[in-house]
Amino acid sequence: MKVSADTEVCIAAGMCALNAPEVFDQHEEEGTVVLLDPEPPAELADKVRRAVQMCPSGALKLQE
Amino acid sequence: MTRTTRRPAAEAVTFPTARQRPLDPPDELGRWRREAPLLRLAYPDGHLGWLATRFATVRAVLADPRFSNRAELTHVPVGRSARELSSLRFPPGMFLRMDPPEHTRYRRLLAGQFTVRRMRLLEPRIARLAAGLLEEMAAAGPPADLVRAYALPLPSLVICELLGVPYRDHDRFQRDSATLLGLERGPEEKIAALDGLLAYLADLVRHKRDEPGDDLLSGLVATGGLTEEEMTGVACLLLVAGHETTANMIALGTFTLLQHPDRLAAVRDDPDVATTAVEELLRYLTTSGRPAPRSRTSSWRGGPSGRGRRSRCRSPRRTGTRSGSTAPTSSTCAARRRRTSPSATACTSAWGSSSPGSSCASPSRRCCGGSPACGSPCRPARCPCALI
Repeated sequence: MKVSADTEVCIAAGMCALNAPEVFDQHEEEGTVVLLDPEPPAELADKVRRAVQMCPSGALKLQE
Repeated sequence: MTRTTRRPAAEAVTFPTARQRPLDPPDELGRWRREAPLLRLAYPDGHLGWLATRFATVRAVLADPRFSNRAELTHVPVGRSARELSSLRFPPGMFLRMDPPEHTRYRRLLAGQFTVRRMRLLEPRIARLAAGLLEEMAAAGPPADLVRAYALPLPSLVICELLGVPYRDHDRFQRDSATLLGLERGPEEKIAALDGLLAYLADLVRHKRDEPGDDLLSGLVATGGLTEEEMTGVACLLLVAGHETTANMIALGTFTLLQHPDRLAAVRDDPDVATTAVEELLRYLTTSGRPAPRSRTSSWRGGPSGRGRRSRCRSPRRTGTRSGSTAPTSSTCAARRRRTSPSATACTSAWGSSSPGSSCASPSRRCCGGSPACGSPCRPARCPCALI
């Protein structure tokens, strides 16, 4: 599983950091997505999928 | 956007506001959604526009940068509020009806103040405020008015906390914001309340410049990115956006749960269910009932049924607005379901009208966001439609 994040598209809603904090964080000042782990382990797959699904701006991309 | 939607102007509809059942959107919206994705819409000012009824169409409009959200370009679809809104002059910094890049500039400065980390830090303070209000209500004894004793003061106090409004000013703050939002209040009263709030907030901004605290306004002052006037406008927007919406959700959410004792019991018995119940109630009740107006910008190359170039915006995979979905709308509310949708509050840029996410209707299943594997119908949110 590979994840990518586009900080230009991101609107800092924070849904990713809420759903998969192991993989996503937010920039301290701008609130935009900070990708902690672009290749998350299988046990986090569900959380990552949910995070990608719930992103309101479509800033996250998932490759499985 | 199909040809079948090209109705003659004579068949134009007006935006319905009367609800047949208090918690459901007007029935016409559901009927029109089944009939066509776009209808001619007659505005109170005489303008003839379009009403987008289905989710895919609403989403396409809201995500398309060729549609503008600027107040001076859009017509207001509902009569009374149309006059009221146009009579209120919003100051710089109230970035509700703006397009990028102007909107983006304000949002960037604020986004850092609303990260998950910051909200977690705020949680214990909110819990204390909530507990305090509940204790006061219990001490006063029955009968209790939940709206006055809890639903209205809680968000107001939280906003005071966020902005750093001193405790002694809380009453005034609540009174003015209630006037500004009250449906029964006339335009003059509202303008006076807005002026009062803005004057107060301007003082507060100056105070934060001299004596910064650990609140949001002090943080904005420290960025140096906004003028005093803009910061006042931002503070006012945060107040207005977060007060009545939250108060209505608390009151209507409680009412809905009381009507469904089994769901209420589930929430009461399992704290984990409360989180998902909140998301579901946000979807089900959709307290921001006004449609989101949009206007076409000069970069548009075709009409709603013409061949404009495709949007550059990316769409999230799974989205849904209840009144705008192709899926059958659900008129029931399930408290026990896995969280799937970003809450309405996460969607600031689209005026709450494109709250993405849909939920799986099966209470026992793990959520799948309505993917085909789920086997259950999706339950889109019940937001109003976009207008063009």
